[in-house]
Amino acid sequence: MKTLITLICASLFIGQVTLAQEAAPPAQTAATATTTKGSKINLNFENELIDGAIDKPDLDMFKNRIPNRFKKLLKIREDFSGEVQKGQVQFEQAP
Amino acid sequence: MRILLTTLIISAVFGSQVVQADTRGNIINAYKQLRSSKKVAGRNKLRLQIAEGLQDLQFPEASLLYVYPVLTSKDTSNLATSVPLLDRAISKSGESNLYRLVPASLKSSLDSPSYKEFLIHQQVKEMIAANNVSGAEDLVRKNEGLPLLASRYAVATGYMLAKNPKASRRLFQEIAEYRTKAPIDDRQRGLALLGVARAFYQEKDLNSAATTYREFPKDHPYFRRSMLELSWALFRAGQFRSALSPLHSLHSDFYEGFFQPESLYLRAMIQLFTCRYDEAASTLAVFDRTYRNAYFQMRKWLDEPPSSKKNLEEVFLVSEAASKKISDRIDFKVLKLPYLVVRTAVDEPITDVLLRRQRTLLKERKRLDVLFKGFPPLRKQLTTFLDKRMQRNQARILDQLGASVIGYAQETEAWFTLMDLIRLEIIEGQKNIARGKMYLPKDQPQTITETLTRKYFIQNGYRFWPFQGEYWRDELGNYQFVGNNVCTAQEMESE
Repeated sequence: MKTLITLICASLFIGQVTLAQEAAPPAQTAATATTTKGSKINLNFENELIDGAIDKPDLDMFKNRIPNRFKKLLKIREDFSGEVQKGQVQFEQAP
Repeated sequence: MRILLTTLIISAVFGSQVVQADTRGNIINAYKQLRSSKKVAGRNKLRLQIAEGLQDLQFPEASLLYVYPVLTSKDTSNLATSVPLLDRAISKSGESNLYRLVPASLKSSLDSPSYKEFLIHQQVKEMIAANNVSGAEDLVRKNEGLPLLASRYAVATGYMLAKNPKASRRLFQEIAEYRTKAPIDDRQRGLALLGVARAFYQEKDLNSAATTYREFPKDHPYFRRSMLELSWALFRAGQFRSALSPLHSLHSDFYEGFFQPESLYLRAMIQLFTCRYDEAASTLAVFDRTYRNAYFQMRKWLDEPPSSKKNLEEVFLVSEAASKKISDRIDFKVLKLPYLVVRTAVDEPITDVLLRRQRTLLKERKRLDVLFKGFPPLRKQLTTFLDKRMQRNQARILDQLGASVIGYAQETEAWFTLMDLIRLEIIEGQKNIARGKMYLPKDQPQTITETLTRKYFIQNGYRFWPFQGEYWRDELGNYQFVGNNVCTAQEMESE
């Protein structure tokens, strides 16, 4: 039993070490945060390097970003009740 | 056999002429006695004799000249005889409002179906005005022995306005069934069929609405209206390609002389929804060309109205040409209003009724003029009476024309706003397509489908050339739009 508990503790400890190694940022590129007293955080971006290329936006972006603005304002016929009402005189006076 | 037939025809014509001459003689005799008679009761009796004779000779309007004084006379001895004559005159002239002249004491003695229908119709209209549509329907159902078509139509309209299209449809179907054997261009049947389709449309049963509109007879005067509504039904059902097909008929030579901005709006909107921006832009150009000019002309007409005489001349000219189907012979430059405005105004329900009445009065006047040519006093009296009635009718026609023009001008302003919204959407769509092309390789050759200068349409590997031939009336409603929805997947998602 003791052996089992020891093995579990050992595996947990090794896991934490592995995570700590993965999370460690490269010294040159990542921003560093240092905490002082209380909750104040100072961020330092001095060594942050951005390596990117200038890309033209593609057609999808335009079409998805500018949806139809006015289509909702367009009038769609819900009924023809006005026409039915107008037809009443014609119906009464039909030859 | 031929000789026998000829003899029969000649004798029938000759016989009717003899009867006509006899009746004419009786009328003239009664008129002579009327002028010399001084007793009120005797005068009223003579008046009724003249009225009866005039009705026998098919002059219902003129006969009213001799029925009115009896109805409003202090002498009541002849009232009972005058009422059936009035009833006859009304049923022939179709002016049921004249029943109001019948004195209250005699109303119970009137038992003609047309009078009963008139009374029930008045009650039905009052109930509908008081928002009691179901009560009005109950009243109609209680009198199943009478057709009560006008009352049924009024109840159906009441239901439609009360957003109960199902009940409305039931009544329209009843009217249509009652008029099944009527001629194909029967107006009441046409209005009932349109009512059924409109009720389906309001119920959002768009497929049934489209089927009903498609069954509407082509030779009917309301066929044009049915095409526009069919297009709306198909558009709302998402059948964009089919929705453009009826509009082809509406924008053919046959109907181009009508004020129908809504049809262009609908066409532009369908083209917008199918991402056919260039075609929608050309529809807008047609709208601008037609209706902006028409609008300014209407505004000018309203600001500086021409004389009543000039307006009446225009209305009668256009109306006559339309009824004889010779509109192409009119010189549009002589008209103060755009032709399409006058042409549509004369088809408006009330104006149409008034114009038909004007024609009846004119026809009656001409016949009177010939028949009583040898007896000027009576001829003058009758023609003056008819002239006054025609003048009153003309004043009403002018009022209706003015109301129509104001309505059209306001309607056009509203369409301008909606068309401008479509214009913005078209620009947006065209801009997106142009931007998309910016990022394509520059040396890519232009495909044939992208060539806007081409004069034919391409689909399924075929080329469709625009129709440039002659339009035939029997082809109306059969023109098909061959295009399809060209929206990309992204455009469809953004809808």
